[in-house]
Amino acid sequence: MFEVNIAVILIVSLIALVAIGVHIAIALGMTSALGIWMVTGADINAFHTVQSMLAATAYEAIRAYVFAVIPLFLLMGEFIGRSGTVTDVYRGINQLLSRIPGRLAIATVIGNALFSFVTGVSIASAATFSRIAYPEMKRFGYHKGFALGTVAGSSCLGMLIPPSVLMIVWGILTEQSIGQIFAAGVMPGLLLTAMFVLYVFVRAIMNPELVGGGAAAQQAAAEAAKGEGGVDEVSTGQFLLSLAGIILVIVAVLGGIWFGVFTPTEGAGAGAFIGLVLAILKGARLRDIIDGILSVGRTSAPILLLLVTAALYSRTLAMTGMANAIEGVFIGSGMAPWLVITVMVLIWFALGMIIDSISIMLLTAAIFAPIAVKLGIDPIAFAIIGIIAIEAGLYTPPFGLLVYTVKSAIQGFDPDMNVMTIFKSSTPYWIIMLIAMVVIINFPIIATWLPSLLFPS
Amino acid sequence: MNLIKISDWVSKALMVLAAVWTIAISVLVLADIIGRGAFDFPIHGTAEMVAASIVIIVFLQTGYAIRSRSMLRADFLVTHLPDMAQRALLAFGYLLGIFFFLMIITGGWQESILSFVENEFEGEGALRVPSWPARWTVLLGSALAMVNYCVMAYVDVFRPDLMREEIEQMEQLDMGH
Repeated sequence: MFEVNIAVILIVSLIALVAIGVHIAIALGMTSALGIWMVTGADINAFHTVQSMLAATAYEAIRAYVFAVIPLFLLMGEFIGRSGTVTDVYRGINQLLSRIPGRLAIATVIGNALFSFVTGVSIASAATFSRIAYPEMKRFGYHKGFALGTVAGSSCLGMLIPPSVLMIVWGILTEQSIGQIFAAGVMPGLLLTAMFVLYVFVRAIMNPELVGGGAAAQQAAAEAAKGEGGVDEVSTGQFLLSLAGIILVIVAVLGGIWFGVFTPTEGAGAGAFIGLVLAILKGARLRDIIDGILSVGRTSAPILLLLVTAALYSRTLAMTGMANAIEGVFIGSGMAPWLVITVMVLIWFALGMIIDSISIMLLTAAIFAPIAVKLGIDPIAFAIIGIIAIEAGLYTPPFGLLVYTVKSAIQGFDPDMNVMTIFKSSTPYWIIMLIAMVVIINFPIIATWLPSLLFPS
Repeated sequence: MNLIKISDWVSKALMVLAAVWTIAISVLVLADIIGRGAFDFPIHGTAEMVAASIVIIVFLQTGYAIRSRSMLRADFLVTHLPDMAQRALLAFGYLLGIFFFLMIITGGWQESILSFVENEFEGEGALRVPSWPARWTVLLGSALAMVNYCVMAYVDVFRPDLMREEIEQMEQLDMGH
């Protein structure tokens, strides 16, 4: 069945189409169509087969209950993001941390970790905190690059801490339990949060000028800002309401999924509704709510369409024997498992520099995950390893999606900020991510402990 | 030009319809949970209705996703090319898009008509959902996708002024996000 020629043609055409800027869904779809056409005889009958397979996949691939989690979780994140709870929580954490060096940056990291429990995408975290935390840090004399690096760096938690669109996509592509992958992300997410906080703290002590000249100067700046009446404080009542809202969402949605009360889809549906109520309670305007709904309309369809073409692509991989061939190359090469993992991580990291995380996952997960399992790596831990490696690539030039998100979010009030500065100050964060990833490769129990506790098999 | 306005209006209207539909799904799922949990009275066929709805929502939104430049792509290489080459590549990509959705239509229309004529259903047990609405939406969405790829090809290849305007508008939308 398998012919080397076909595999080579398909891989080359896929890479070429992506590289020349063809929509990734179309690149995947057309490459698959070509592959199916070639293996079924490359004649007019084969062309009929291609068309009916395309039509069947378009209808069947996403006709399942589980796919509703994507728009529903996006909706939940939008509502909560627009409710102002995140701003309250960020300011509250700030007040709690008073006198700690670099507190605004530390609050950014912790606020991101909390927000990550209610949002499914890193881009949402990056955009939200660019607008909430960056102006605050700038006002208190933080080094701008350092401040933006913190905002960009800690936004990766959005994908690592459940709910996460990347985890959902990974679960769908590799046919694993989404609930288990959600659970697997918690400890690594907290580990990474702790590492980021430690990094900010150490930097703040070593170079106080990065954070506005040390704790004492910061206090003075705070006093000065108070004098202007411009300091952003949150009342204890509002802070508690917002915190309670976020915790309620976490307990209801994730708790419900983990304790078997909800399927992920039901959890997402309930979460979207709680988010809506929270937004209304917090006084969001009707306009904000409508904007949120429309924004999900714009973001969810491209992801789901990609999943349609990804289903086509995985069928093609199976029909042409390409997946087996690539697997054979890796396994048959006699490379040590750690070397195979290193190669995969390098591929992910490199792809992260140029395309977005979901596309990377669609191109690679179906091929890499079975190889990792054959090498004896826990599939759940591997999901987390993959997500960290892919996210790390999103901080590196030339494309580095998260950095560009931060750049465009601050365009309105700080248009002169150089993208390269943000890239530079995000660098420590992706290095920390890769360190955390190596730790998880060596101690997969960090990822597998919580799922094994919640889902005893 | 007016034709573009019409197709843009249709794309946007379908997207809004799909967005409202998404909200409806979340209400349905919630009602099912509450019904089941509090009154031991689940809403039959929720899973089947949600499954069919996802197909409908995605294909209602496809046209707008393409037109609003929300489809994911990699432009890291392309942006360094001369203007003419960029436009040629864009045109090529849009042509592939037209061809892709054309194949979905040509491969699926017979079955879609049959599903209506023969009253085809999906799902078993709790509730059987007719398959034709989802199948027809796939066709409708694909047709609109083709139209919008044509529009994009016209705008991006022949009207760079319009293209810049549209990109600016989109960036403002994203910032309001």
